[in-house]
Amino acid sequence: MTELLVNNANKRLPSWATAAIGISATIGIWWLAALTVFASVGRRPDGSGGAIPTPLAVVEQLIEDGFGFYWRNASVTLSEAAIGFLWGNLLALGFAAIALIVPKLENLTTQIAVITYCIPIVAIGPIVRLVVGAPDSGEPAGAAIVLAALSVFFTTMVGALTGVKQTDKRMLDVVSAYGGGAWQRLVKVQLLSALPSIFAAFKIAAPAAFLGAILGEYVGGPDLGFGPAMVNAQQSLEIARVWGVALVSGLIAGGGYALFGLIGKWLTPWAKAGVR
Amino acid sequence: MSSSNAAAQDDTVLGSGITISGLSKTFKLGNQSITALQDTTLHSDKGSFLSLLGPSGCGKSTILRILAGLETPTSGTVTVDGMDPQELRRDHRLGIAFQDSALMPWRSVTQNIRLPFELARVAPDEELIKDLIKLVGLQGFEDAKPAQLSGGMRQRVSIARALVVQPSVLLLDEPFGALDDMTRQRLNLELLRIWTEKPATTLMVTHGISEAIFLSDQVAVMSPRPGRIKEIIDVDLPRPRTPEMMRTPEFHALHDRASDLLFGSGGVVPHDD
Repeated sequence: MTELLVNNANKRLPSWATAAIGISATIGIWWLAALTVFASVGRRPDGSGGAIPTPLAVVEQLIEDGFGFYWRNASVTLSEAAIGFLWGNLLALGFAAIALIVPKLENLTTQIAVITYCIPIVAIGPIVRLVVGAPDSGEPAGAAIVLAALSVFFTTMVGALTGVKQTDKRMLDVVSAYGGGAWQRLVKVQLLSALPSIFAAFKIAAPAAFLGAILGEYVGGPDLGFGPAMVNAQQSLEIARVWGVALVSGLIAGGGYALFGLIGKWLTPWAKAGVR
Repeated sequence: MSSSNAAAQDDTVLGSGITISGLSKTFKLGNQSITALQDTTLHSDKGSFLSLLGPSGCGKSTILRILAGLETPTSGTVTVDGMDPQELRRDHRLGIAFQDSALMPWRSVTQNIRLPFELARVAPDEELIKDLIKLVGLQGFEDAKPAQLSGGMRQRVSIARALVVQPSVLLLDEPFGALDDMTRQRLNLELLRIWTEKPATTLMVTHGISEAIFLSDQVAVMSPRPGRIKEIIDVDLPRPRTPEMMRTPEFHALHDRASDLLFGSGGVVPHDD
């Protein structure tokens, strides 16, 4: 009796095809523009350089720099992002729990979250640097971890709170009528109801943590990581390398988004199934 | 002002079945107060099927929610087999099914039906769960998730979940109200069959005249604002009931009487379902 879904999608292009067309078009326009209208942007008087390399030049530089270069830097930035992601989300879920257990504190916790969201993280980066100090050579920067954590706090806390509040009232009534108390309502219903929105928040938080970590590296003073790699490349006028690092950063951030999307889909399969 | 037969039921106050006496409920909205339910008195025998029939806003769901312990009355008392709603909840004596099946989308059919056992912190009776799945006609769907089921199938799960506690009282809040007419009629027959096999004192809230008469021993017709019981109709159709009975003159007479009470006499009212 399972209803068969009429496949309307086969009339439209499959998503991989639209993605392929979009990416090809972007690269094509970039290439064309790099050779024509933007050819003179940032070019030095002697005719060398140029701020906008062609995709080919960026890829050639990527291959030349090799996996080793990227891994050395990515591992630092990724560990900063991961630690920040972990702590930021733990704190956010903790604050959300406090707001749920003590409703009087909800306004306060929400205000704290809003403040973390409103403060430009570039502005507090230097302060954090002063507080946590500079890292040892090759070590993750404390400032980058803090900024990564700050970048995820708001989305996760709001996601968790909205998720719990979206709980179907009828399900709570059912648990109450069958003799369940507040604890059972929380554990059997509310937490599980909140999971899809918590994972949606994680999905946004993952790239946010990575970008927060890169920003933190600008002020945090590590000698490795995507932040310093970009700054160094820029200062030594390795234009194609700047682009290469930026490109890989974007890919990693997108990868984080996709990863948590998949985890969410896997752990909360009911979320998108159009229940009721 | 309230029910016409209150006096007749005074002698059964402490007896078995559902006993509702002098029940009122007032909701506060800002500085306004709205009387949802006024001085309602009602009794039904143990093992009988009672329906509350009325338009929306007549307080029929409020009675059900008070019985389920989800609302507290402003005044008056309700008991089932001499136990008040808090005791019923604590002893897990309530079975409830809402218009919206309120199944947990992350749980399979079996896991949803098992929920009341988990809440009662007792070992689930897997045999009974299996029996009930069979009884509501869902064999083969034990491991299906609610999203994979049709609306009617979800309501069957919800009814199986209500019966798994072997309740002192089964509360049905417009259980098929959200379904299409054909499914609804089919499920009413199913409910009758299920109820015959697993008899329980039942209170059903509905706005369907035919289904109320077809299923019930007693139909309490209610009027809105403030909600109160206009009259209690004793349905003397014999059991077991069959769909053919819905075409008998006796059934039509009861239907017309309920329509008259609901819509005022004289008005020609089409049969609603």
